[in-house]
Amino acid sequence: MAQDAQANLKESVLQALSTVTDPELDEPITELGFVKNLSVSEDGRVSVDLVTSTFWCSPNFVYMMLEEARDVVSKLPGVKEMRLTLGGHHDSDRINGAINAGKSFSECYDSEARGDLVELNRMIRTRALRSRLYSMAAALMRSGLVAEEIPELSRQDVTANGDTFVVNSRGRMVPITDPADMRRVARYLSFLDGLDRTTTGLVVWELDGNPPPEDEFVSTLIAGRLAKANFSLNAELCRALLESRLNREEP
Amino acid sequence: MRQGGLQPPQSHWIIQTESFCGPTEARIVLKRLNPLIRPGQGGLSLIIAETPDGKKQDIFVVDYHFHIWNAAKENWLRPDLAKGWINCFYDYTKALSPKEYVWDWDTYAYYGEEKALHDVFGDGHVDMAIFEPQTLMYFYHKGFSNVDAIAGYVKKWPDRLVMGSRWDPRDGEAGKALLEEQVRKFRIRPFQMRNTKLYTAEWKEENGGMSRGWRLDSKEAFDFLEKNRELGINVQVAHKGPTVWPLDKDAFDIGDVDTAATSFPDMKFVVTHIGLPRLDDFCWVATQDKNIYAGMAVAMAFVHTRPRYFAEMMANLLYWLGPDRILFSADYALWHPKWVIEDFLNFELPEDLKKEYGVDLTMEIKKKILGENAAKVWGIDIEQQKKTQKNDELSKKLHLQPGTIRVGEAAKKGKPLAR
Repeated sequence: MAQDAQANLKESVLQALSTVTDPELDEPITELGFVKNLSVSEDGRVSVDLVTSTFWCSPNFVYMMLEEARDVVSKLPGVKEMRLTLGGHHDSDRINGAINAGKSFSECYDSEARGDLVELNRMIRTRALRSRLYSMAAALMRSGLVAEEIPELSRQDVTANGDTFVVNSRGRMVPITDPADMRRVARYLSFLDGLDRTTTGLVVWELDGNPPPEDEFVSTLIAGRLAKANFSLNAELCRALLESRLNREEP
Repeated sequence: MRQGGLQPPQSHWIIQTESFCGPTEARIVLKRLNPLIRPGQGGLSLIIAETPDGKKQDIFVVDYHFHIWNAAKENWLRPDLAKGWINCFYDYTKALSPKEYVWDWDTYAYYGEEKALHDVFGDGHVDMAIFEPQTLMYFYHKGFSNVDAIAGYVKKWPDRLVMGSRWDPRDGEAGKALLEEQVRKFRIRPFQMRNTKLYTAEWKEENGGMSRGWRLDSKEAFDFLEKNRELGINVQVAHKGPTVWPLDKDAFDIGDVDTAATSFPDMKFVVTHIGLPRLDDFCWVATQDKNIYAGMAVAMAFVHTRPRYFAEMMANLLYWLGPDRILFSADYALWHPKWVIEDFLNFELPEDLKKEYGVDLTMEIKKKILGENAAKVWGIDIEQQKKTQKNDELSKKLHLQPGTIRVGEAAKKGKPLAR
C-alpha cells in the first residue's frame, strides 16, 4: 500500500471510530479520549488500543462499544484485519479474546449472561434520543420558538444552511446561529435520521419513531432534561477520571 | 479572634468557558488561593454559617457515609483486583479534589483510624459520622473496610461515630446471626446499628465458582430485610456497582431498590451516589417511593471543580425529590469533608437554573441536607447531641470549638472570618 493510501486509511478508521459512542455517556469515544493508539500497516491490518475511564466500567456497555468499533472499522474498504485491544480493564483478557474472535456478548460471558445486549441497547439509546430531543428543543426555544409549536414541526421544516440551521415554523423562518445550539440541533438530527421509521415529525420520543403522547410535550421535555443532566454528569465524571488515571503513576 | 484561627477562605470564582459544551454549560473552576489545611490546629464543630444579610444559621453536620479502609499491599488477596479497586478510588479523589487535599498513594491506601478521626471531626466540621462498611473479601485478605476498624472507637465515642453494618443474602443464616450479635454489642445509643450498607456488586466465591453480585428483590434478600426489620435496622443504604448477575442486564438499574422500598414501606432506603450513572432512574423511583433518599456520597464532590454540573444535579434533585430527602456525605477518605462542606455552604444555584426549575438552595435547605435530614432518618435528636458533644472527650482531644463561617458574597470578597 502506498504511503498516501495508508495515511488515508488511517484517517478513515479514525473517522469511523468517531461515530462510535460510549452508550452510557452518549459521546464519541474519540472525543472522550478512549482511543489511545491507532496503527495501520502497509497491508491493511488495523490495530486499535482502547482504554476506559476506570478499571471497573460495566462489561456490558464496554462490550457494546467495542463491538460497534470492531464492526464499523472492519467493513471499511482496504481493511484486511482489525484487532482491538482494551487495556486496564478488570476483564481485559476475556473481552479482547472474544471481541477479536467475532463473538457476541453472550458467547463471551456464557453462563454469566442470560442473553445478548439488545434490550440494554434499546434502553440506553432511548435515553440518548430523549436527552438529545431536550437539548434540541431548548436550542429552538432560545432561538425564538415557543414550546407549543415544536411538536407541530416536521423533519423537513429544519434545514441545514452551511453549519447553521433554519426552522420553518408558523409562516416564518427562524435561524439557529449560536454554535453550541447548532451542535445540539445537529446531534439530535443525526440520531433522528439514523432511525428506521415511517413517521415524518421532528419530535420523536421512541426508537420506533413515535412522538410523545399529544399534549404531553412539556412533561416530555422535563424527562428529557433529566436524561440530559444524567448523561452530561456521567460524561464529565468519566473525562475527569480518565485524566486522573492517565496521569497516575502505578504504585 | 483566637490566635491561629481559621484564615478567611479567600477563594474566588474564575470562569473558564470550555468550547466542548457551549456557554450555558461552561465549566466554572473554583480556584483556591490559600490552602485551608492547617495541620495541628483545632477545627470547628457546630458551625454557624453567616450570610451577607447578617443572618446566622447553626449547622449540625451528619455525614451518612464515611470509610476507614485498608488497601495497603499487605492486605491484597487478589493483587490485580485489590490494586484496581484502590487505584480507581484514588482517581476519583484526584479528579474532584482541590490539589492540596490529594495525599500520596501510600497514605491514601491506609491512613489509619487516628488520621480519619482527626480529618473528619478535627478539621472536617463533621459533628456525627455514620460508618458504612465495604468488605470486598474477594479482593482483600481482611476485607477493605469492615466494622472491626471502628468497633473500639464507637464504644469510646458513641455520640460521634455511628456504627453501621452490612449484609449479603449469599451469607445465609450465618449473616443473620452476625447482625443479631452486632445489634447486641453496638446498640449502645438509640441511633446505633440502625443502618446496613448493601453493595450489590460484591464478588464472592460461591459453589466453587465466582458470583459477581446479587439483587435486592430476590427472595433471599427479602428474608434478610425481614430480619433487619425484626432487629430494628431500618435504614438500608443501597450501593450499586458495575457488575451483577446476569451481566447482560444493567447493573446500575435500581429497579430492585424500588421493589424493596415498596414492599418495606416502614424502612428507609438511601441510594448512594444518587443512583449515578442512573440519576434519571433514581429520580423517577424516588418520586414514587417516599421512603427513598438521595445519598450524596460522590455527588457532593462535584461542587468544587464542576459547580455547573453540581448545580444541574441539585436543581434536578430539588425538583424531583424536594429538600427533605437529600443526605450529605463527603465520602471520606475519597474527599475531605472540610472543603466539601465549605464549598457547599458557599455554593449558590445560578439564576438561570432557579428560573428554569423553579427551585432554590437556601441556607435553610443546606442545613437540612447537611444534617437535619439524616438526623430524622437515624432518629438523632440534634439538640440533645449538641449538649452531649459540647466539651466531650473528642472535642478536648481535637481542640474543637464552635465557630462562624461567612458564606456568600462575604466569603468571596475575602472578609475576615469571625470566631
